[in-house]
Amino acid sequence: MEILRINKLQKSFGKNRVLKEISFTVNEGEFLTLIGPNGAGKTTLLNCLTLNLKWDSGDVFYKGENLKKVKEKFKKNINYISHNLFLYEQLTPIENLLFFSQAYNLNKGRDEIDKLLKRVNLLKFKGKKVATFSRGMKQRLTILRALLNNPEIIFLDEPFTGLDIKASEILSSLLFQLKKENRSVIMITHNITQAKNLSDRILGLYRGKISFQLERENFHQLEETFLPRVFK
Amino acid sequence: MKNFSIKILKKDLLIEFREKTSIINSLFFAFVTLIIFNFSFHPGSNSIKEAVSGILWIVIFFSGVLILKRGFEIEKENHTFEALLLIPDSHTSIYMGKLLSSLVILLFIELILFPLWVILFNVSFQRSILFVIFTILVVDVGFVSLGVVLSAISLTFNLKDVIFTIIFFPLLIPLFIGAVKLTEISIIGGELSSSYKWLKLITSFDIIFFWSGYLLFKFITEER
Repeated sequence: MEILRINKLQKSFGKNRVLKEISFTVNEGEFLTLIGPNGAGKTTLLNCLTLNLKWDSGDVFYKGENLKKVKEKFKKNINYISHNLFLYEQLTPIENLLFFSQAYNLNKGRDEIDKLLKRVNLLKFKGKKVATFSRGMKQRLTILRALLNNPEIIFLDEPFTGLDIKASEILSSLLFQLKKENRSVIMITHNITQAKNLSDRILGLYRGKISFQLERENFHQLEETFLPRVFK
Repeated sequence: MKNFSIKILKKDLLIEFREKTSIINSLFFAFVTLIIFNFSFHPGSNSIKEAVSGILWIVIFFSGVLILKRGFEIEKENHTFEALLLIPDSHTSIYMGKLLSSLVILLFIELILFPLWVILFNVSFQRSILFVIFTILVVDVGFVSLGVVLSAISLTFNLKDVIFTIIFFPLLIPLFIGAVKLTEISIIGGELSSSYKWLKLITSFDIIFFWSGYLLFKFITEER
């Protein structure tokens, strides 16, 4: 079932048209990856879909309803993981997770937060400030933050940035977990291997337009036929 | 909504009292400025009586600016402003939370610098000291209300610090003129009717900027 429909979305910054009539759909439980060179409009598209930016024209439908009319309902059911971590470095993991859970009116107890931290191997660091964490530890914590409100759709903007091999593996297994939980995921990445491993569908973006859409069974054609179209 | 404002207040105070960035900056600025002014006047001179209320408000003004800027810097450093805006119905709570946290930190600073100012300048009051304390409270509300909105605009549109200064400082002139005049009346004495005039100016400022911030914060932070 269709969860998001993007219809002829356009966005400009001054005279620079960054998104040009972008249209695609996302299904429930689907893992969709957007790839493309720097400046293709990937992050702008994600910022529009997470309501961080206003788009100029076109429509987005969430479960058949115009997103502009159901903004707050949509916000309740999504979350966003960016290469910017959205965590308070001055606070401990527990303080961060308690704050964000209270922000969503969830009021999770410390025991529940402890269980979540254990899930990503951060329990023994629960009293340390986030500022002392490695990039990989912070990324695991930010995934917990993003899962607090049990979102239907998760947006990921280059989550593998700055991670070493081991941290990337841990992140991949967490993302596989999201897939198993039947959540819809929209991810931007430059990591083609991870994109192929995780995605059900890959969209190529080039100069603000969708250059190709590829289903999982055709991923073997990606490197030879489709990547040259966007990484010219 | 009310609940989330309190959570933001608690979170900001926890970070501020843990890091002490704006508290230390503001206190040191206030302390050094008061000492310099103290050495600029001969003890017991008449000019000290005329200048003393202005000195208090110069110190509160710049200490307050340091506190207000820090309030949103925390969100900028951690990129958490986007995460706060992603939370449903959060805009007004963010405004109220930031307003309250800046107000509490500013009051904490004033709690230290006010007795210091009284002692260093040997200030004696013709009216009740409560009159000056009340003046500080009403001025702080207007100061912080406007400061929070402009800090949010600055962060949302990624404006340079200088833009914040160019817009914020001139807008505060009427508020601080009122503050200086009311403090002067309580030190030197004067007609009660003229205090009402300045008090009216300050409360009008408070009402205009508190409500415009409260009502417009959502539109300001959404408009990108």
